[in-house]
Amino acid sequence: MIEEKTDYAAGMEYQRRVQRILSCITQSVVKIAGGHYPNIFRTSRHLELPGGHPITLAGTHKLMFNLEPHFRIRKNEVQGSLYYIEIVGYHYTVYDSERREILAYHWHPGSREFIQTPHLHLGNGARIGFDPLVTKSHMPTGYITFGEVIMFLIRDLSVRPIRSDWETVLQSAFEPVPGK
Amino acid sequence: MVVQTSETSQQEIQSIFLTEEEERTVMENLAQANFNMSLEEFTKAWRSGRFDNDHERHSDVISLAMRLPEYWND
Repeated sequence: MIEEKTDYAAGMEYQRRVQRILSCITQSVVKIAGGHYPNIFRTSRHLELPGGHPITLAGTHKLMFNLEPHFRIRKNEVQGSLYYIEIVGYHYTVYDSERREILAYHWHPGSREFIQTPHLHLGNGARIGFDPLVTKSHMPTGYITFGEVIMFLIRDLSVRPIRSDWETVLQSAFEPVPGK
Repeated sequence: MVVQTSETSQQEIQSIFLTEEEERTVMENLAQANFNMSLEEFTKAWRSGRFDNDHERHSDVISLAMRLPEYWND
């Protein structure tokens, strides 16, 4: 669990943890979007890749990937007024080398959303022949951690890790929990 | 102006946190690149439900919509 004395420190610790996991597959750096004032009154912030654009990954299929976990900085008034992070939504998207979407893990619980629980989309890049499964379907999933997505990319989609200790990094990753 | 805290240096903050202006630029660029419209036009279209059945671009719509403060404030 992230427990820091300031809201800045909590935000930076979360960025550091995501960056460490991401370093298994890319040297790209994620930044915290939404200004220099990570105060607890802002409803949501997120991490994003440079320009919000997908990155190209090493490996057999030259896949592309984008991430955008949304989070809030909270203050725990009970336990020493420490600041912590809770995840409030995400999307993790995998594209083929021509930027056709293969799959996307989504959790976007906005009040106007038809589906507010975590789900999976298959895109045209998945080349699935059964129409109802492609693009329109929201296949239910549990809450997916960022580390699980990176593990899936390496283990199942033949993305080539760029650090030799990637398994240790992913196994030791400790991520914030989703908000209620 | 960037607030200095005892836990983090100004340099660290500037290297990790995007300013609101920088993020606004990212959003404008994404609106142009993915929808060929300004961010204001995208926001109006999203509010009106114009993208509700746009399954092909659902991830792009969600990506931009979730960056809007009003997405979380409704």
